Amino acid sequence: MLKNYIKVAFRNLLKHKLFSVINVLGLSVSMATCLLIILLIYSQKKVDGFHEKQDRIVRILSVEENRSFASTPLPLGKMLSENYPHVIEDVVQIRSSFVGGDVVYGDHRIPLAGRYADDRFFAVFDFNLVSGDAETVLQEPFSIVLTKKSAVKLFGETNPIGKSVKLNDVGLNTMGIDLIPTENKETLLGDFVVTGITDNTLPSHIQFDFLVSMSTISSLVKQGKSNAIFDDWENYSDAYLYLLLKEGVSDRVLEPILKDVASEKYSTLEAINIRFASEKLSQINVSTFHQNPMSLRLPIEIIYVLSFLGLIVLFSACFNYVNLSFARSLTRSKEIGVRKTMGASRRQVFLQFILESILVGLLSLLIAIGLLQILTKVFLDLWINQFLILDFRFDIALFLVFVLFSVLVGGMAGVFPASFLSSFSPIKTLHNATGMTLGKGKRIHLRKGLVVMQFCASLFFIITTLLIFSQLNYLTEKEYGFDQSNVINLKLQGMDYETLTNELIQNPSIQGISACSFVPGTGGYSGSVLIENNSSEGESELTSHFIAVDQNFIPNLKIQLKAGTNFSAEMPKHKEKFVIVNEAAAQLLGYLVPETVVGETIRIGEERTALTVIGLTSNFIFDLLTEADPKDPLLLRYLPDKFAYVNVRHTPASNTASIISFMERQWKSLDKVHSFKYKVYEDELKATNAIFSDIIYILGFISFLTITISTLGLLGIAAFTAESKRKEIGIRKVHGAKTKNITFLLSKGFLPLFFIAVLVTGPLSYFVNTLWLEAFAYKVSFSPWIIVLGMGIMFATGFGTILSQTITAAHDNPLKRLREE
Amino acid sequence: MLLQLKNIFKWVNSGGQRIFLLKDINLQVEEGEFISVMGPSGSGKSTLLNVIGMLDTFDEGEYHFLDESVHTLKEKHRSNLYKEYIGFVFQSYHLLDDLKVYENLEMPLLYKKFKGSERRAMVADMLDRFNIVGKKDLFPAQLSGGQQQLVGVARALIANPKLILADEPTGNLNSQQSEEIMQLFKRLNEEDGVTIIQVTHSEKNAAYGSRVINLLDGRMV
Repeated sequence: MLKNYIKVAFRNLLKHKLFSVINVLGLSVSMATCLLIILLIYSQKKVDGFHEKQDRIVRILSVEENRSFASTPLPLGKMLSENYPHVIEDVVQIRSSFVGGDVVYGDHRIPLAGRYADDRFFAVFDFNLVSGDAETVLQEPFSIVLTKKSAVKLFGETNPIGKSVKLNDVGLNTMGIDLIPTENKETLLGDFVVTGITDNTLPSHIQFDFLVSMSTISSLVKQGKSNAIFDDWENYSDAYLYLLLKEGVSDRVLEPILKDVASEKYSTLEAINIRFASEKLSQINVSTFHQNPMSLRLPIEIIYVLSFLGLIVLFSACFNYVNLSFARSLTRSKEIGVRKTMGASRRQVFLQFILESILVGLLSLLIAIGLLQILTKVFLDLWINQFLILDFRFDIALFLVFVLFSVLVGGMAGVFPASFLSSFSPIKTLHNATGMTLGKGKRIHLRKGLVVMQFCASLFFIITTLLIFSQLNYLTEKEYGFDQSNVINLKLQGMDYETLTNELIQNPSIQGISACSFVPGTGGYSGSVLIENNSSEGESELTSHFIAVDQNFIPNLKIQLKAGTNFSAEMPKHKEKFVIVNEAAAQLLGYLVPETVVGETIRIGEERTALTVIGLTSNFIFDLLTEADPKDPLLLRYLPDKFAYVNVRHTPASNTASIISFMERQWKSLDKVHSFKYKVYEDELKATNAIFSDIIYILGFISFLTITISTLGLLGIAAFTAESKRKEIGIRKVHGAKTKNITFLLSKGFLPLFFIAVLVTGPLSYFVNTLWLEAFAYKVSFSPWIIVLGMGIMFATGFGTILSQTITAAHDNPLKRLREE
Repeated sequence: MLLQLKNIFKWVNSGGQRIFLLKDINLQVEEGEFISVMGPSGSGKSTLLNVIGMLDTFDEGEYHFLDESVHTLKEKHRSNLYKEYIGFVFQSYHLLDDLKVYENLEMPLLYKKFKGSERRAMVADMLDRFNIVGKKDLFPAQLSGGQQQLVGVARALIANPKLILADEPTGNLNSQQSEEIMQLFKRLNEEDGVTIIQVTHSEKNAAYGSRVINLLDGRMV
């Protein structure tokens, strides 16, 4: 039976090529998109799936009123394990602050980023310990466990176990691709003994190049190299805490315990209002975002959005199937009649058509898997993916999920047509073929409804893509308020900036050099500070971002100094006396005429240091463009200790490449250890908008698919409309109708559908897009022309498609049509 | 007795008026009969055939088929009944274009839960009996009208029905092909004892049967 159905299905697919191509093509591209999303979710789910005890491991979170932290206070772990041994089998803590910098063994000096972890780490987690004893590797102070990769880098062929390495700490960041120092000065932590090698290639949210025993910290504290406090309950960003629950203990048991602990510790502290919560290990990578994360991952919201987009495309393809199947039902009616007369029940006919659509689904899956290979490559090339832990390997389970998915999609697409087709009565179809009516009443409404929905989806995506594109354009062309052209930024990496400046300024092509704590507009940050102002203008207090700059910074970056003076070269390096503020800060401090702030005194920080405001700058953009707000206050402070970058301005005429190679030579002569790190400012700023390009790519792709699929659907519907009106066309032509009359007759039915779509989608897309656009301080205005342009594109593609079919039909020889009847 | 129709009425309502398609039909058919139904266009021949074949319902009257009262049966039982005992032959053959001759013959068996080996044997037997073994891998479009109807009859017979209902079986055939099909019917009726009811316009074809029923405006005359 099955064989017979499959045979018929295949012959049918081959016979009606247009129909098959439209369906298989539409379904396979949309399926490929969905497969990618499944792959994405699956790979996220797989993260940390290798821990044998994963079902019993939970992470403890600190929850504030409206946000939660992945970290907890340091003493919590010990307290829990001592007081609740009947629930908790084991406890692991990992410090949240980074440890890392150059690790030195003999001549090898490699920058590595790591974490402090306590001795239960390898007992709870199943990171493969290639050598060393899981129970003891992280027990002794000054023990270090290297990953296989870092061990090879550092030791080559030599067996590292028992060898001693020197570790310099600049707090290298383990997140993302660039190793970014989180400390300003380098500390030699001491000599560490390699006690183990681990292979951490399996995907985990715990990322490290090495682990250092937590017990080291106490020794470091004694030596004055660390300021960790082990009984500080007030700082809940100190450590990540993982509990291994006893066998058979549900994580719900933890709830009252955590509640007790929090109320015990915090009921007397007014400033702190947190409670603790737990989260399963398997949930960490797929649940909502927590502050102070251990590693970056795709926020669950993005997966939701992507899934939603994927489903829209998929539904669009399914609509095509439904629509075309209804339109084509006439061609199958005889078969249904014969089968029923020969004894087929309605159920059997239904089953046959469902099987047929499942077959189309499976066929599409084959193509979709092929497309997926391309799609995955493109997706992995997206900017965002350098930060994500993704594992796109195939396995059997995943393949089964894919097959199941395609069967579901096929079934879903087929259920309406199958129940319609199987309802045909044999007498009507066999004895009275001309009396067979096609899509009357409800069904024609359903078909029209589906076409409208496709129109709506296409229009929505076109408008949204256009708007995002124009917003991106706006941002890329936005003036920052400083001049980024011909500037190259160098990372100081601990080098004295004056030494470097003196070397570099020798080159006549270099016009100016300045120093700063972060490069404005690139997402860098050097903290915020409390400002207090009790002047004649009244009292005010606010928190402001600050940037440490030298006296060359303002002229070098051509920032507009609106009033007062710049810092002078003669200022003392260590005793801060003067400050420059931006207009927003002046206004927030209560100076309605910002210029009047010059000469006033403000107090900043916990110490209430008095500083005289000597200058006022314009509100140049110092934050990421996407985050920036012209109302953000900023202090420019002269703090040479905080300088982390120098900005090198060269003459416009000079060759950037030769300047870079000059600077690199100078760098190498000054610093034998660190590699030369630079970025061309203009490129760097452009790269900060990379997330936008990602969104444009994704949305552009999705809207392209939606439009393509609905266009294909229209093509099919138009072809079958023309087909089913063959006789009418023939009769009309015989009676003198012209080609253009016929074309209009066949096409006009689509016009109202188009207008309904415009009426629905115009306001909807305006509303939805305004929601996200509002999040930007710098944004384009949502002009109605975008909607009009979107409609134009829609109209052109839609009616181009319809006309391509109707014109051909209208041109046909009328006699030929009538004779066949 | 194979079947019996008692006071069968069938009508449709059109513009407030009741139009009778069948009016007070009384008919008893014994096993082994060969009946021809005749009458002008629109006299209700096909409707009668459909009612007998249980493809269509009627509004009044009683219909007994073997020991079952068809008019009291539910749809499902009714279809089981005709599945088992009745074979249909159509004027325009109604072979499935996408199936080969062999598969067309096999198709009714699929709905009757025969095993694969049984189906193969039955199809082979039928191909043999109708002398169309050489055509088994052809599609209907590759056959002449006569050959297509031959396959149609073979398909109707394959599940060993007691009754064959044929609606103008030779309507689309030339005289020689008609002759052959009618000879075949006669042989089936005489040698195999299959009961046949055919609708026909031709006196010549009607002569092959043992009894003729004339219809006019839904009435037997």
